[in-house]
Amino acid sequence: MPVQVLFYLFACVSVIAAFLTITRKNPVISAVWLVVCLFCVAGIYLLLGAYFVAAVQVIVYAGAVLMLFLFVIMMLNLRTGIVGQMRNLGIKLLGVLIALLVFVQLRLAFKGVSLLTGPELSADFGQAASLGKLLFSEYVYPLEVIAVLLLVAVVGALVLTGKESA
Amino acid sequence: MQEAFIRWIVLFPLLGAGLIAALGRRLPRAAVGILACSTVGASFAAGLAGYFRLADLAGQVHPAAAVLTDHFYTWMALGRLNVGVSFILDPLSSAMVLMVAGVSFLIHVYSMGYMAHDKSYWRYFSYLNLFVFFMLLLITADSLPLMFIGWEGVGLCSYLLIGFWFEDPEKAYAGKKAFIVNRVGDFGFLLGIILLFWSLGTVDFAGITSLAPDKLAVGGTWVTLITLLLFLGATGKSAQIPLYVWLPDAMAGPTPVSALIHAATMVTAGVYMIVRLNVLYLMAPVSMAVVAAVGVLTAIYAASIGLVQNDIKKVLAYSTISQLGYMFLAVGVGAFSAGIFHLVTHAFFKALLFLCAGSVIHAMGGRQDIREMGGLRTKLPATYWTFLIATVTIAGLPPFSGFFSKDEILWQAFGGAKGHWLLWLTGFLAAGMTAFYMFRLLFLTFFGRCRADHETSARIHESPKVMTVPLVILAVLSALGGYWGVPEVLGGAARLHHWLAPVLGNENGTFRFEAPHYSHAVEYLFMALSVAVAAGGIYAAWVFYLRRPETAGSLAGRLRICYQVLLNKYYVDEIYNIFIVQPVKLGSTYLLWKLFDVSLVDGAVNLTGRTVRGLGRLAARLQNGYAQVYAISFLLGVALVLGSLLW
Amino acid sequence: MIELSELLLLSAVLFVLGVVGFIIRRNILIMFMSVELMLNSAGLVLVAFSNKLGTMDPQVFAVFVIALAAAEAAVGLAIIVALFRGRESVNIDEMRLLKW
Repeated sequence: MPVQVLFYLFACVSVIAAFLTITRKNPVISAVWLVVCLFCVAGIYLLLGAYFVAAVQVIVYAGAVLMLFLFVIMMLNLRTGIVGQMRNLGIKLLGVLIALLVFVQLRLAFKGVSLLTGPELSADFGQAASLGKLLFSEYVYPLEVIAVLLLVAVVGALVLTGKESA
Repeated sequence: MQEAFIRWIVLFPLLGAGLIAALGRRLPRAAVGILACSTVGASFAAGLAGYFRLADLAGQVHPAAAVLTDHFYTWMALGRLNVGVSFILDPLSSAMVLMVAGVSFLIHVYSMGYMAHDKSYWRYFSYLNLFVFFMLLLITADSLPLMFIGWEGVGLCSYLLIGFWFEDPEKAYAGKKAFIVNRVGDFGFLLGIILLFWSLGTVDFAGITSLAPDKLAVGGTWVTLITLLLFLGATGKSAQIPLYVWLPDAMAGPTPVSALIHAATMVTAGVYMIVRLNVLYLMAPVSMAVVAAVGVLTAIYAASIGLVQNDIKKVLAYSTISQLGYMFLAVGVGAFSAGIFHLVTHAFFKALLFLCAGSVIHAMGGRQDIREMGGLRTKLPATYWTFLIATVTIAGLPPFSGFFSKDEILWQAFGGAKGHWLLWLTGFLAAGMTAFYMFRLLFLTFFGRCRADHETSARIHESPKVMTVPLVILAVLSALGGYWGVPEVLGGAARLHHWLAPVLGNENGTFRFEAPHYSHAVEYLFMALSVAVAAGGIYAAWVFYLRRPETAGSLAGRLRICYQVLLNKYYVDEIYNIFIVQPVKLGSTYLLWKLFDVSLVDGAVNLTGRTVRGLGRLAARLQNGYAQVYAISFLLGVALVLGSLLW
Repeated sequence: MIELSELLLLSAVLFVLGVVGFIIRRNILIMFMSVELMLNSAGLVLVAFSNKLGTMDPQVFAVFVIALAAAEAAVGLAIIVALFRGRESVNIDEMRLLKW
């Protein structure tokens, strides 16, 4: 089954890319690996029939957000990683242990739902048209709130990075 | 019978006090004075309305049911304890309300003149209104805790007003002394309330009156202990032996304050409280005897000190203590209505005396020593005439009110159910002394030639109308107030006696005591004796201070020791200082402060502080500013929440 | 057919990688990227359930998550730029003004 094969491929690549994202010294490299990871997740979205979300993932995330990251990195002219003494090493190790604990807990939590099998999907499942209808009918108020949130974020970003003239 | 307007009797002065305290600084003086007077006037009007409503009611229903109540709100409801802020207007409290609000109103008006030039005019009236509020609260309270609020409140206002001119350390000290001495009594009072609640399970007066006869044994330990503790509170508030020492010093306050608080209202609180709880006291014969004995001893003791004092206000202060002693004598022998009768007439004539003294001091430019006065009769005619009426009244000459009330007490002390000839004799001698020292005061102040220096005497002038009009009104009340209680044997109606009967346990049939029967002739004889001893005192004063002024000096010379002892008030202040104040101070310094407080209390406090600081240091290491450490704590929280959900 | 349990496993792995990255890295930019990873894993769960339940409502939320991530990235990066201007550094350990 090609779907299954593709899924395993995407899954493995995304995990490796995520691992590399958080381990590279140079943030530019990290950002590139993050793009790879996001692309893989978008691919999984496609396999799951969420076409519109996959498109948004690629356009907004891999396109806009990551571009923003790279742009900032370049603007700040950061080429080398951070040097200097690692602080709070012990407590960070403890943090990693707790993160592993959370992972185990998440596995336990997901155990009960793994028996769900998908129903037959309708023809327009995950299409932009049907999702758009849902967004602008049932979820129109949250959508407007999110729109305002984005506006606020834009204004906030401008205020924070603007010249300190005031 | 529920009547919602009763609360306004109490609340009007509070309103005034609050308004004046908040706005007084910005208002013109006249507005402050008029506001203060009008709130008390409104209280009086409400009290009058309540009185008529009550009189109306008394004609319709059973006398014992003629009570107006006003439940304001529930203050505490804890288990068995249920205390409401409720006001009660029965014959007793309505009589007291009328007296207190009426006299207070006159004194407020008088104060507008007396305090006209004081820089803290508004503060004075704010305190004064607050005092009236607490006093009316004390009177109309329907339970002991609420009464205790008023009781403490008048003590507080008394402290504030005695120390009104606090720039003078001696006056501030007098305020403190009053407060602390009262605290001793208040502690007893509070203990009494607690014990009462413990033994009866109720603290409101209606409950006490109805439950006490069933639940407590007559003459039992509990009831005796409770009544004695409550009486300890009364000795503090009403300046009886052994806690009277604050009252003479309290004369440091403005004179209208002395008239209001230390003559007419606050000091009568103890008497009122005992009459209010008369059922309890009737059940404790030992306490009754103690009350009567303390009362009569205070009466003669204070009167003897009053004989030789030279400060016009001090004489009146000791006279007040002595007259309060009479009231306690009355309630101690079970003549509650006679006690209230004397309380009311005393409020009139003693307020008048103090206000006249204020007028004299005002005229003399602040001087209070009667040796520097004299001959003021012609210069201060209005003050002189009203003072004369008050003096005659307090001396007990008929037909002025003082005669009826004092004679009633003396007669009850002898012929009442719990009377004793020794009580009568002591009171009788004190009456003679009273007449003597009051007329001594009168003669030294208003007769003879003026002993003031030239400068002062040139400026002596009669007080303005705003001060003399209240004097005249009080003089009329002093002279005619006896009408309410003219005994039946003299053809009067004894209205006050009948009016109060429903609330008195020995009148309405709860308790019945057989009084020995005497014929009217015996009563007439005792009246004649009373008049005679008063006249004798007056004659002696006339001889000593007008006819042969040198006699007094030579007598004092011959009885030097006696004179010194009296002049120095039996050295009681000094004795208290050595045996109570100093040991307490030493104990406080070395035992409580140096040992207990520094090492034990401070040590414990410091230990607590150090422990908390150490723990804080430990906890502060989490707050190290590293964002990732915070993130880890966040994560730990996530793990814990997830864990608890999965459990 | 893709198993739901495998999807959830993948999402959990990505999430924990994000968490670990956020905790151990000192570069604020990479910490931000870790946050994006975590948000992504959440989106993945939503889409997975959308598929398995046959309803599109979770996808709406996936879109919202992406929009939120965009907003967060905009403000967060603006903060980083502002911070960098003042301190010439993106080392989280040097930003400790919250102490006090």
